Amino acid sequence: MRTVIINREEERTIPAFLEKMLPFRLTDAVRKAAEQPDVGIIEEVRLRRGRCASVTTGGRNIILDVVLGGEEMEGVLNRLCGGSLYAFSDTICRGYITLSGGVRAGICGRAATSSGKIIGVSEVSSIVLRLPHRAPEVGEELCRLIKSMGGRGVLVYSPPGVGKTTVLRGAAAKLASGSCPLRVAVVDTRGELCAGLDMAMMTIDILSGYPRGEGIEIAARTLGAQVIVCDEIGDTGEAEAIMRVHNCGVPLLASAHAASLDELIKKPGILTLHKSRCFGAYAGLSRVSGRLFAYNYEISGWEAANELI
Amino acid sequence: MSLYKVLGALLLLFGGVLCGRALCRRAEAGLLQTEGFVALLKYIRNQIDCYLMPVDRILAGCDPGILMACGLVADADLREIKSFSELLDCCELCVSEATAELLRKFAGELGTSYRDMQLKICDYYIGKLSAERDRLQAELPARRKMIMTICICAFAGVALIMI
Repeated sequence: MRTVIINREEERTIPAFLEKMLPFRLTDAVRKAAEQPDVGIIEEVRLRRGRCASVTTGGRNIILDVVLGGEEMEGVLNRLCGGSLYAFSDTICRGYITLSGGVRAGICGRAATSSGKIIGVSEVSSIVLRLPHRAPEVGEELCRLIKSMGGRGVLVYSPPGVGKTTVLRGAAAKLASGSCPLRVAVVDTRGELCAGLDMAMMTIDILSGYPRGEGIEIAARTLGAQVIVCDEIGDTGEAEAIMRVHNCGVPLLASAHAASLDELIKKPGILTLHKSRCFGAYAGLSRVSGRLFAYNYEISGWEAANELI
Repeated sequence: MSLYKVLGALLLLFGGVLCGRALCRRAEAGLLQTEGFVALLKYIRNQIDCYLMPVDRILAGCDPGILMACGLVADADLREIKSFSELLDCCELCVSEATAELLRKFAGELGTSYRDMQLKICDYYIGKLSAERDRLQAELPARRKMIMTICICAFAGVALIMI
């Protein structure tokens, strides 16, 4: 198990553009919480209809003494959508809105369904604002790993909220920069992966909003990518697209939700990819206790994962 | 009757004609502006239907001719207009009170619902505005006659009294 520690970024509270969209008493409460000495960088702000809001920092949840009503929640959603709710109806039905700067707002409420498909969400009950953080030193381990794989990919796994997106972002930046940059294509379905990257000197192509399966195929076939970076794979349909791309010889650096290698390898989509030898290594991610942007990588090879099946 | 009185009466009649024509132009401007807003709402509806374009980008990309027909003041900065409400604030409205109320209600409902409902809302207000436009168009010839008649008669009456 290898530990990677980096310097903490000075992003302690909500970005200014987002503050304007939130009620003042909420932003004031967040600011006061962030000023406490034992509180680090604010990672998430959670708004709840009729219940206390909260912030998440370093994996710890702090409850705020702020309760937002229904009208306030609707007003926040309207402002997050820039006064154009219809423009975000597709992503809201999938549970999120991506704002500028890579901020992702998770949305849930009362779903309206038709033939088992969500067609709308009303009475928004929770809005979760995930704030991205720049951590340029993160991802070095993944870069070394994928370059040593000889054309096979690397899959990063962890439970939600550990930092998979952060390390993928760092790895994509490192692979696409430096003295020998690779042509990196980032399939950024939710608009989070490339947030905050200074891409002027990077050989990086971004497929923003593309469904993962289609984005991965386009990156391999038409963009001539040397590495494809993608977040949160696991769907069976995506697995077929990834296998087609693997046959083209383009390695994939991706992430998936799983608490252990055993749980990861037993997911149907991942199992299919494992049997096709798409991934040469699986990197379990965990945080060094009490420290932000400090990660442990538990690297397992294909053979070790195969023994679990 | 002295020559001055005759000239004065003619001037008053001329003033009546001018006043009538000004009022007729105002009535026509109201019709043209209503037509402009019908065109704008149709454009907004198409942009939502085809591209799910956010409101601020719809307005930023709109044909300046349509916006001018809606009464947008010449020095308005489209980059600063982020909503339909803000657009209305930057227009010199000469429409009827009923039309103005429709536009304010539309501004309040634009962007507050998902695609299908939003298109229905657009269709509803396009229908209402089109009906208002058709009503104004049908009434315009009669209104012109009435305005000119009243103005000329009023000024003629004043002229007669003074004479």
